[in-house]
Amino acid sequence: MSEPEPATEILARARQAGLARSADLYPDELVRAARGIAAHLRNVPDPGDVALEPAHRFVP
Amino acid sequence: MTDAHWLSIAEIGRRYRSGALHPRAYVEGLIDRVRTLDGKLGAFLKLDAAAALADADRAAGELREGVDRGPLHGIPVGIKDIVAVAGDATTAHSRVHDPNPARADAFVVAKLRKAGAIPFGKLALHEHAIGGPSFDLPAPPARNPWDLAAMPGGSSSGSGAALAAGLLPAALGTDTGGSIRGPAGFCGVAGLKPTYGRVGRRGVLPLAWSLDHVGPMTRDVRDNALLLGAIAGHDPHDPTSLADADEDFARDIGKPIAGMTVAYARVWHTRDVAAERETAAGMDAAAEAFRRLGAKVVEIDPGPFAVYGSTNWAILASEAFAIHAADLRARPEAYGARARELISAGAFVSAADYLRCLRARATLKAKMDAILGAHDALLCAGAGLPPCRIDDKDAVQKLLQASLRGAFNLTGHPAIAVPAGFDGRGLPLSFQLASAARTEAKLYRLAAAYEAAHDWGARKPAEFI
Repeated sequence: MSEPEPATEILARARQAGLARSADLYPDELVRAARGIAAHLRNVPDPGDVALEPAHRFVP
Repeated sequence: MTDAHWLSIAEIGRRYRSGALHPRAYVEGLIDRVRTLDGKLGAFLKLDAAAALADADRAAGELREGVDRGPLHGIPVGIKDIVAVAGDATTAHSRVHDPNPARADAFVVAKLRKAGAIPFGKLALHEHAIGGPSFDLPAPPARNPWDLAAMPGGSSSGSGAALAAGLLPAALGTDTGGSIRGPAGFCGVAGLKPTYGRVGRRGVLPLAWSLDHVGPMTRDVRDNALLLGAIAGHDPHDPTSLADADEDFARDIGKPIAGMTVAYARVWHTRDVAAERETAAGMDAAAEAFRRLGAKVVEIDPGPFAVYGSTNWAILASEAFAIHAADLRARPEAYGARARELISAGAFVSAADYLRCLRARATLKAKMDAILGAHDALLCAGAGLPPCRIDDKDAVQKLLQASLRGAFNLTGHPAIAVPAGFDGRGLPLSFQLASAARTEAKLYRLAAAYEAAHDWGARKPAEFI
């Protein structure tokens, strides 16, 4: 279990992404959003050295 | 016509053609119910009664003249309000929308009109098909007819609620992480997310391009197959649309299912989301019902659900943020808090992470292809938890985390939510069946066999009889 990213760093990243207004008005939402998506990304496997190109057009 | 509002599409059609029911009388009855009952439900954002009645008269006139457009002829179909209907603004249940009326119908609405169906109102949803239930928007969230204090599921909440309350016989939903199957499950109706590309999406506001599906919601399985038959088909202007011929998706309904194989992903709700007791018992009862019908049910492990669910969610958030970035940067206060938070999450997914998700998706799709290639269908829960209170934010978040639906948005396989009885509080239970790409007819065959062996559809919400 890694340490959650500090709120100050999350809000700095949000500003870099153009969300300065949200960072001012809704900082708690952005911190929850960033920590939540980070938890999801930790579950995503890395396919590793497999020749898989991300599909431009996903065909089932 | 007593209780005509609970009739199936198939039965309405029979009565239209025998003269026992007139389209105008039927549509008038539904309009009266919406006016009387929807105040406490909130399923409709808009209903143009005059247009619906004019369409009903046109449908009746055509039948009189021998023009029969098929099973959807004269059938009212509710439209989730991210789907364009010419002449109406598409609001997405949000302040953030183009206020101008749509200049053309969405592909699916045009298909419905060609099939003789009547667009019947714009239905409530979770804001932009992601953020809800929300109490900080101009329109309130739709409620669950089985318990007005309970979560109806989302994002196609108005579609599920209106069907369960007997306000219409059919509705369109969209599904990017479970948004058809969730409200179908919590409202006790049938909802199918088709194979990716099976139903054209032109004219539908996107949430996440590579995960979005449009699909049918109805009270029973046969009706669902009929509605899919009307909306499926190739759209040459939609690059993700499958180039498939029209298909009769109800063709195998009624055939025995003895000998069919059902893979049961029991571990998803026992190991991965720790399902609540009645949900787990309901799933085992459904598996046993398929065994009694002669299917071979075998437990399998598709791998941890979180791998599928999280990959789907990260792609969804990334694509949704790409769509909403300009508005979120310029006027975040125009969004409801729930949508703003969920969509903003995509700002924290790097390009490298997004591409890792797409590569992971390819491996997970291959894994699911192998499972669904070896079995006729996969049986799993829709969620590990029953509907919570609609106004309990923490419980709503837990409910979202207990969802087991996003796997099939990620892999593109068709999946249907099937009503499976009621829990001790009288709230609907439901399960999911998924199958190989382009095999929706097989899903309908299995789901209809289960449905025919039970009588869940006879029960109606007490406040809406």
